[in-house]
Amino acid sequence: MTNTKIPVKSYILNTLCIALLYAVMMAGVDGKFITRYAQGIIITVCINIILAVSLNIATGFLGEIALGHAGFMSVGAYTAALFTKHMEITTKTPNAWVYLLVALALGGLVAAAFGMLVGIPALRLKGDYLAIITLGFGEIIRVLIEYVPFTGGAQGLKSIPKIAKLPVVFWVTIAVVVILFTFVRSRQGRVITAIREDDIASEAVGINNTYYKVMAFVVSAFFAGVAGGLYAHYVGILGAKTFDFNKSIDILVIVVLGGMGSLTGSIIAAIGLTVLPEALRGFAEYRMLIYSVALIIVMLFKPSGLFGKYEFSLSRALSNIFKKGKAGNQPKGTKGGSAA
Amino acid sequence: MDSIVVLVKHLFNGLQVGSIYALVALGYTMVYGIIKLINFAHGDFIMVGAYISMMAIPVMISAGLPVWVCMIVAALLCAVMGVVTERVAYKPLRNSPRLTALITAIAVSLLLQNLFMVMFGSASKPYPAVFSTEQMGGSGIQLSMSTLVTIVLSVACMICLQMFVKKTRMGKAMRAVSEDMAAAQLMGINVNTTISLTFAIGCALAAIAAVMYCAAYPLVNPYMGSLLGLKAFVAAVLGGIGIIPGAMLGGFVIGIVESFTKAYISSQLADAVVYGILIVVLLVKPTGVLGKNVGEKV
Amino acid sequence: MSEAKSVLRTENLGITFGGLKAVQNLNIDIREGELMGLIGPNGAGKTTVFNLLTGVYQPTSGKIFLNDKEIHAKKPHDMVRQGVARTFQNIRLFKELTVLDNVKAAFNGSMKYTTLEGVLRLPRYWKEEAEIDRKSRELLALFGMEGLADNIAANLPYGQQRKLEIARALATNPKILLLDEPAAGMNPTETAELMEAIALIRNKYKLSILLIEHDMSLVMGICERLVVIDYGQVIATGLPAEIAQNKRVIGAYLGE
Repeated sequence: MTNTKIPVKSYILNTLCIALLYAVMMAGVDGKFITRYAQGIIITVCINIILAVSLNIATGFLGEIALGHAGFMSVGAYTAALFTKHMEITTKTPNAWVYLLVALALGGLVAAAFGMLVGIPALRLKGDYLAIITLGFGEIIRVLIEYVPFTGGAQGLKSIPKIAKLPVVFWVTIAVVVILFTFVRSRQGRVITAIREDDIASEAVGINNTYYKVMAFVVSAFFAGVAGGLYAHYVGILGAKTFDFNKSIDILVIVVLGGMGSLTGSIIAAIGLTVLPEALRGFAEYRMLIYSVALIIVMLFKPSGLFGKYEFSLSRALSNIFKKGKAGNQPKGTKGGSAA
Repeated sequence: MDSIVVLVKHLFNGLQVGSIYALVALGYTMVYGIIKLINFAHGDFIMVGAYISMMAIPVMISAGLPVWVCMIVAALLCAVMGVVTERVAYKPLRNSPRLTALITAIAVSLLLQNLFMVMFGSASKPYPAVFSTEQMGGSGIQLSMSTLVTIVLSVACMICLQMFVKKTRMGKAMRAVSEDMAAAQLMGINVNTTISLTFAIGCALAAIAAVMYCAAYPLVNPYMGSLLGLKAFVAAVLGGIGIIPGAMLGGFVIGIVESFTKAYISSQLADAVVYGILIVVLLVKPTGVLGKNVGEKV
Repeated sequence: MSEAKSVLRTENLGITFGGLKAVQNLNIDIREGELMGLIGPNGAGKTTVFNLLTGVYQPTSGKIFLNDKEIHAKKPHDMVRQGVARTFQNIRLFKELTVLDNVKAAFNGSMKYTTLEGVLRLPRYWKEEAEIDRKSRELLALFGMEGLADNIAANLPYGQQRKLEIARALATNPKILLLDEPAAGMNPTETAELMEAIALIRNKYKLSILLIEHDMSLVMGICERLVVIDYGQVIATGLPAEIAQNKRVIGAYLGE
């Protein structure tokens, strides 16, 4: 079960699989099977995946409900957008994606800085109180963005270069997911889950709770900022109202439905909750109604979410299929009750 | 002289909004006190109360009853809805992790908003006048009827509630359950009834607040409860969540601060200031101004 | 025996909770390699003493010395780094983590790789993870739990959970181990097994141990020295045989 040897085989396997996915997708785009509209949905799915997996670090792995994720997303979005606007990047700029990556990194860093600013005081509190204080910070960020002059105020920030095209969005999403997968399987991730399980015991085995809690929060905020940056360069216009409390709740719903503590769950739920409403466009006004009922039902009957703490592992799935069940080759080793 | 008149006017505006916050905050605080749940859906009961009362007004007029009776109708129906919500969504989760219940509350909030959106559309609807719009008072300070009624009625509600909780049998049961649910049960208190009653009172107060809010800002839409609820919640936390006089104190403070910020600093920043106060309070004394500090047992 | 170096010593240690003197004038001295028992009737303040020694509570008076150096207002995790580890009266495991991860989490302090190294899985990640994996399994083997490594901690039987908590505390590489009623809720066989394991780890790691127990007959057998407290104050210190004869101790226990 443990990953003490480099699992070369499963690395190759996963890489091949992702490359294949990309090839199929791009072939679809070239062959016009995937329309511009469908591309837009895929990009939205990717952004939601990043938002959900990043929130899952704070809410699922650290176990603290954070209700201000949209705030960090907006900080990243505005930072990244202001950067590319300042550099006068357009969709015609050669290698615009390089500038986009720089913009995303900047957006992530500023969001992370905000995460630290919010986290250090807020993480002194726990549970309900932490949820409230993150909500408060999220709303303050939103109000301030509308207030300061350089964000376009209530009119919004316009004509952001729409340089977040499908390939770069896809690879950024893959990178974020891989990074977070390895993060939760590092000693830092292990310590963060230990704090979730019992914060008094974690202190009693020498873990500096505050440090690791802030770390989880900062990592979470960083990638929310990255998602914000992608969003800004996909839609091309930003308004602070987009990033209100309800946006934070939308992301939380994805995380909770997928399973707090399961990145796989976040990914599947992000796909499902983005694609389903598009498929059911005729019922658009019922979308949130269905969401809310679904959420209540999940909480009543399966509060751990659809995936609990289960993580999917390609190599494990394959070895199960071929009945070669050998331990040691599983980079995404089992957690939670999925050992069977 | 003029500036004092303006100041007093803003003060009364603040008191008016503040007493509405306080009424709503009472619901948050009582529910938290008894089942330790931040009932995120509570704000939406303001919206529910607003719609019910709005529909009740024509009925009142055609039945020849005074318009304000709609408040009673709204309060009763909201109370019933509150109890049903508790029974269906929260009761099964009473022994679950707090997180689960909190998320359920958020989901109930979404459900109510979207249910009413589907039923009534998302556009704001005008709300008929409940109180006469005539202005009163002389020497420059003019107050509307609705301002006075709001303040007086809220204070009356709060006093009644405080008396109820302190003096009556049911009130004592409520306090007992909030102290220790298991022990209260062993003493023969019907915990389920007590919790239902708490929700009923909280939601009825939200409905009363709704009518008064609509008298001041006569527009109704499915999302009106969320921001109002959030601020009332801030008020509850500020005063010390779980403490009834704390909710009143918090409500008035938030109302006045908001009114003055809008008047003298910036109306855009009013929300930020309210949340700023929330954050400062949580950091300095998370249990609120009137709260007691409770440590965790190791 | 009396030549041995002091590991953990307190001088007039005390704490007051809003007027209530929970512990006062506590003077204890635990020597290298010693197994000392801290006993006293229910509510005497034994766990409060532990909370003081591990930094959970800050004393309102007195001093704590580790290896004869005074330590000031440390947080629990600092105390662990200084070599003071503990278990809890009501077991506190990382319930949803595996048995192995419970122990690995406690090894965190001895691992050096950075977040970046961990995320990118650079060589130091593999080296340290492999080493910690081996050490954790060794520790579990010491308690006969190597076969349970991949089980979820919450699913272990009670006795095993107690042992896991001790194994986890050992992973922090302590100089002194504070055990809060390790045998509580165990049957006689489990208790005997546990005491054997405690004797074993003590010899293997040259540990000092401070053991809370309110069952006197149990500690008489294994402790070298006993400290008896009642109402937050030391009422007797000495060899088990002396304590058994001490009038004040008997009085405290019989509720004289």
